[in-house]
Amino acid sequence: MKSIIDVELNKALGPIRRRLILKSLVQMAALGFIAALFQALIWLIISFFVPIFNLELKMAAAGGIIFVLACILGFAMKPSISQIAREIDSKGLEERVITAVELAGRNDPFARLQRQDTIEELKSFNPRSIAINISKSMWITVGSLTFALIIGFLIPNPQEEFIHKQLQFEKTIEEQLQKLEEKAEKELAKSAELTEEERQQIQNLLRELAQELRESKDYREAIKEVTETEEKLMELFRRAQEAKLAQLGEGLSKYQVTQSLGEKLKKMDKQGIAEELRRLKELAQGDADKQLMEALQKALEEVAQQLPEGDLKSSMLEAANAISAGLVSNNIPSNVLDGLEGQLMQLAENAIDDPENIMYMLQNMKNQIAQTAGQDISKLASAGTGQQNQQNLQNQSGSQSQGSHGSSNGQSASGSSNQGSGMGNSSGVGNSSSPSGSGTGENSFSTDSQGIGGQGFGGQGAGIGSSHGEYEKIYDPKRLGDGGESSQVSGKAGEEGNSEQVDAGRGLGSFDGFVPYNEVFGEYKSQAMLNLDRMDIPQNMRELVKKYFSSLED
Amino acid sequence: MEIREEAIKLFAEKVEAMEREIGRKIIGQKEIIRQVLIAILAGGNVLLEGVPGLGKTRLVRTIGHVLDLEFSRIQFTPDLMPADVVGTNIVVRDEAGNSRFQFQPGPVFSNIVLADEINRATPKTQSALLEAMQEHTVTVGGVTRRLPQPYFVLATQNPLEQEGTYPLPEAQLDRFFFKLIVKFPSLEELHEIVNLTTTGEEEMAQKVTDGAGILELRAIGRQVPIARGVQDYALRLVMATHPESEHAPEVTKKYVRYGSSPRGAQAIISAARIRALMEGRYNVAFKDIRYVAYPALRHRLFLNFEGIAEGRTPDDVLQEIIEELPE
Repeated sequence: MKSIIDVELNKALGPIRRRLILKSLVQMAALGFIAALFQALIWLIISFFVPIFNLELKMAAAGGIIFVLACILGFAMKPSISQIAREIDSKGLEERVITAVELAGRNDPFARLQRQDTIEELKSFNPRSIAINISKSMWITVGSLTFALIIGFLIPNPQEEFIHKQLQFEKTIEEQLQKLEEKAEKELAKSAELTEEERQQIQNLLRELAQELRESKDYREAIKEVTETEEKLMELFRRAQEAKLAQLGEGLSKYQVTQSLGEKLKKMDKQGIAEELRRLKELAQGDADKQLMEALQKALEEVAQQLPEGDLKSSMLEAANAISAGLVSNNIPSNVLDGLEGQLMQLAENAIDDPENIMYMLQNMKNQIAQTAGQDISKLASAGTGQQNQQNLQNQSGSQSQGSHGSSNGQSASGSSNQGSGMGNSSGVGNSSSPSGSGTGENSFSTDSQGIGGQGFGGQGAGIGSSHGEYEKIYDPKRLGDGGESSQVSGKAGEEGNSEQVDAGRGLGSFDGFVPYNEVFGEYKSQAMLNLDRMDIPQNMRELVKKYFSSLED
Repeated sequence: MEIREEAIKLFAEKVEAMEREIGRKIIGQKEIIRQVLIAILAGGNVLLEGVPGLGKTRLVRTIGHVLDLEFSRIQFTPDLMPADVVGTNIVVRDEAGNSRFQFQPGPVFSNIVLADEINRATPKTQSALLEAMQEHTVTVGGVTRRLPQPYFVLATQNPLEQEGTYPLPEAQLDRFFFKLIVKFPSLEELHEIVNLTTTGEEEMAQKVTDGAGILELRAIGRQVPIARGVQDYALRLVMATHPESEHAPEVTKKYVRYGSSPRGAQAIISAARIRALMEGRYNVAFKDIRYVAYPALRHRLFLNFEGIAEGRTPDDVLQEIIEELPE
């Protein structure tokens, strides 16, 4: 139990104790501030050698934490009674207080006298004589550190450029991912050509890609991840198309008139398919056997019903309708099976269909990443996995003018180097430096695909020519309604034949049948190249065609 | 002995009265008077070092008078024998005509003993004082006799005349509580001394206390509280006089052959307690330690050859030690 003297002593010490706690707090806060400045300087020095992102933020955050911790520490580490006693004694109380503190509890005459004497001295002691200020050395330290920090910030940091690029890279990744996630997945959900399982697989692949990209540290890694995803998607599409072909073959082989074609399709016998189609076309020409044509129409119609929505189904139905119409009018058009032939050959050639332009989006993403990193995607492709189509890339990257929205896909049946089938995605994204407008995406054509499985992708080009203000418009007979229904014109060759036309309307947008040639150039070129390989054309004529398209690119 | 608060409060007053009364007969030398009183009240002996004629004998005589204590003086000479100091058994004849030994007490049997020029006696005679100084007892003929209390030896030595002297050995020096350096008085003090001693108008000093009073003051002095930190400071100070100690500053390592014994620490603490009370304080302060450190340690600090060659004194070294020692 405390004696009255002890209580009095504590009471007398109270104001001084509070003053000293405040002093301690101020001291710790000052020390914390110095420590915060010091750590900021350390960050700054390190930032000259190692790139540090959000340097100022990290400095401020760490400094703030240190300062707050120091304040908390200052508050938590209250000076002990002994420390307080020594502090007061140093102000001229000649060790009275510390002795009195140590005598606490004693009740002998000396202890009483000593503590009474101490209490009397404390009563005349002014707590304000304990100065709460920051020492000169601390001010000097703060000034020096601040000065060093200012100088450090004024000196150009060699790491800033890298950080800027990296931030741009991250921003690009995020933007591209956002586009991919928002657009691709939404489009995929609507895509009728894909089964639910395929959609799910594609979505999973895209999600994995998004995760990998967010974790990627540089553009090389990011591009590698995109490329890997492309390969996986390609494989997925290929398997899907093979399944589609098998299903189609199975369906057609059930009908006598298309049995042979069905067998060929199942075996993926390209030559056999071509021959069978030629045979069917010959049957449909001239005085076609009405019964046979009806059987063909029925087979096409019934098999089409079993297929998922898509170009193939449409082609088959179109062919069936055309035959049906021809039977009614006794005039079956000679090109009644052309559309179907194209689709089947495409399938047979194992050319990859790109549902909803996913591959294009990935290509575009790679291009954007490379551009952000200030790299040439073609060089990256050649130095990287070897999966990029070099010729394609070279064709597309010649100019600073970049297409605003090039998006047509070109598909080739085979590479000119005979290394397998190739696929070219046209693309061109960016801004034109020309004052007169924007360029549009450029098609590409894979002629030398290399890499895994002999497959190759055309890379993204930067567009064609900066001096083109607006490309000359040409008529696009295939696209009467941009975004609307497809149109079909059936009839008989020759001036005297009847014709029937189905108007599909304008569809969405302002498409009037004329489009800038660069929008269709890639497709035209790829089709031309396709046909060059398919058809029996003299070599000199082939070169002529190739030169023609090359001249258009220039 | 039970200590009364009133007695504690009167301590400073009494000592002040002693100083005042002694000061009537001793001109100047206030610090010497004060330090001698501290030693007396702490129960220690004092070695006074100074040239002859500075009033050492007068001081002792005055102290004896003011404190109402018996005083004796021994002039140490080379032919002084131990028996001349402590006393001896002599043969005496009683009324019946039988002879028997009877102890004849020497001059040490007094409350205050002035051992004048102690370094002129042989070590054998000097050592005769050892037991008296330390144990306050004297053993002659196998019989130990207690010296009267309070007991206090005040020895003097002349720092100039070293020929034919026997410097006190370290063991004997260590038994002195304080070693005081008596300085030559200032011109003003000299005027006063001359005026006081040559006109026959000397003031008479009054008795302030007596032996019992001194013993009571000693008992009070021993009870003065000392904070742990202050005591620690004193002990670190003593440790710092040892060149091999981790507390030793550079000056000690360079100039000191060996430092103070634990008696030095005891002397500092005891003297600091008395000094605190004399200052009207009921606790020991750092400045008390610093004040008493010089007289308590200067004769316990032995310089090496380098220190002596460079003309350093123990006081110089102590000053540097104190300046470097943190509180």
